Amino acid sequence: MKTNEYNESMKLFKRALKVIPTGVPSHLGPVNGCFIPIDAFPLFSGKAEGSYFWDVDGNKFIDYMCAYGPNILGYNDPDVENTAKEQMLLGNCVTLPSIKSIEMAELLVNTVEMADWAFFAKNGGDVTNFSLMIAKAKTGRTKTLLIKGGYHGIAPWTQKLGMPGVIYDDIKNNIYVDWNDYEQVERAIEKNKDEIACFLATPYHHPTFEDNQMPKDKYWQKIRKLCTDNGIILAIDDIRCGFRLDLKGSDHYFGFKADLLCLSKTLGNGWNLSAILGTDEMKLAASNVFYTGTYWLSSIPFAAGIATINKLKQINATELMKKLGEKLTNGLNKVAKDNGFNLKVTGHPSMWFMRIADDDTLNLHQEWIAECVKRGVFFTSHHNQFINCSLTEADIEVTLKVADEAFKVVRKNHS
Amino acid sequence: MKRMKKDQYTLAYINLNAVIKSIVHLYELDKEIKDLVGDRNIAIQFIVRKGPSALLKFENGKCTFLEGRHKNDVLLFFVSPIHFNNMINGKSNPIPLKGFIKLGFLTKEFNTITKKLEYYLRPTRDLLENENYAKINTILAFYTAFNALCQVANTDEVGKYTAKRLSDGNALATIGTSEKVYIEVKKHTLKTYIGEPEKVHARMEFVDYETASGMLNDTVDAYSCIGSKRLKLSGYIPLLEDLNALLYQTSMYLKEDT
Repeated sequence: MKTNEYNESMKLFKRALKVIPTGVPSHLGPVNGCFIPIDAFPLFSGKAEGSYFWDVDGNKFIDYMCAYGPNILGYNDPDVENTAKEQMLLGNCVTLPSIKSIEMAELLVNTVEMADWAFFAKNGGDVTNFSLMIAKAKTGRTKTLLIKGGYHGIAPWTQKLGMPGVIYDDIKNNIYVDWNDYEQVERAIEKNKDEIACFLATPYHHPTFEDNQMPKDKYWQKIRKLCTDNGIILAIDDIRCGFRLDLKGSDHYFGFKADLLCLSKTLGNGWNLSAILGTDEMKLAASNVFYTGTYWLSSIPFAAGIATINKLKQINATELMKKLGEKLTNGLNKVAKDNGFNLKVTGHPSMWFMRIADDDTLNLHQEWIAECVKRGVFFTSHHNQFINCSLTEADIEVTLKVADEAFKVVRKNHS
Repeated sequence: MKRMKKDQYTLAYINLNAVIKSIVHLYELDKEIKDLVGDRNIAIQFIVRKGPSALLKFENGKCTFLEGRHKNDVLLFFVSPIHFNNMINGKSNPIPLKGFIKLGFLTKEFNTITKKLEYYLRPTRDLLENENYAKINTILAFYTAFNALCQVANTDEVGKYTAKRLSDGNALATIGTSEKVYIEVKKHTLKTYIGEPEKVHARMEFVDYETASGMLNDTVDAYSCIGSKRLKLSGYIPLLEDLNALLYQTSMYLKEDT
């Protein structure tokens, strides 16, 4: 199998470094994205369609990162893009919001089980931050319960003390508990009686580098009751899982009802939009908090979002992605086993996490991922991957062939 | 815990267990220093009240450094971390409690050694153009930085917070194939060792002295180096991420007061 070269990507990276701090900032970059070794990975895309992107060197990839989640229907989905174009002709960023914002809110309220209202922003971090402010406004309390290793964006309170730019005051109101440890939550609440405004967590634990963990039986039901009994707002960060597990919300999927639910990645199939959904009980507090942003009422993303959600419903997207994810991960497991590797797959099939469990230094896993990417299957090493609805069985077959050859290369390198 | 700035206690640990400790490397790298010490055997014990203690020993043509209290010829006492840090900055003198007849070594030879150390650890752009100077500066800065990082992790309040996140493992840092230091994390306590451990959980590899020099002296950024494959990171990256946070904190300490 031919392996890729990335001369143009590297040229552009050098050019970018001159004018953009880190060249490719944030989690999409080669450093935070853990592109190891860097010469196995493309750095800039040229175009994208369906399940694929082509890099600036012309290499084609089956993309299992899906822009870190937003690509749920397939890149350039015609239904979404045509709707966006129609809205563009009518106006986008205008002094007054368009009717599309109301239609989008109505659609979300009619789609997500817990929602009585919706408020919009641009990024996931906008709405996780808003969820804390609403909870504080509602309760008059100061502290937040968070899961160790959980990711809720890049605001200072979401980050780790000791990292550049993060100071103690930023995180002093955070209380961290281990995932799935109900008793620890109980103890934390007892210790901080009447001080905790909010319990913010993802529906299941999907940190980077670690096996993803589903909630224990009745975990969420017990947490829900504990929060209710103690006047704590239960906010769910459904930004990564949202609509990949359940169109009615991931709290619905796990059988409980959140007070606040944050969505973003899958709302507009790549068009920039996030939303916080809430129960009636939370509506006044949400109204009382001043929260806004320059582009938050742009109408194209709302129009694209409406088209996205309608299509997701129409094609029964969650079931489709689950089936595709199961077929792919079962295949990857088999290919790994055939080559003498133990590939551990965790999380939901539509956004699975995987690692070669034979080596705790992660070197084997990094080598295998790099060999896959060099052959046109874009995985990342230590983040969960994503399925999108345009993925085909033929794509899965190609992926398994690439994975097989990549395992063989790693085996040969270590024999 | 309220601050993210340096405190004198941590600074004293850095000054002794990282800066003074780097004399061991200076002794091997600078012939003038080796000649200056000559065949004298002398063991200098530093004791900082409510702070670190360590022994610097010149013996049979070798220089060694041992943390803690040991058999010595000269005992230098400091009443507080501030007193010790001031001595490092040339603003105060130690209190000699033992070895008066060898005090001459301190005022002459040892003084010259510390001045030379300062010369190498405080580079200027002009000095770095000298290839030999740049190499010695890089090696000393490399070992000093990683030793200092451990002091920050073990003693600074924010550093300890970062160390609490670390799971057990070894992170290896290398310059080419010549310089190797690894940090062992055990029960949230960090310690450096020269060489390579049996099992490496994470690697940070500078391909050459020039890259390491650029990074340690803040003339190039890590991203350019990673992009051009002059710096390679691999293995258990969360360990490197947290060590990087500690290095950032360490740079705050090393930049001003030492």
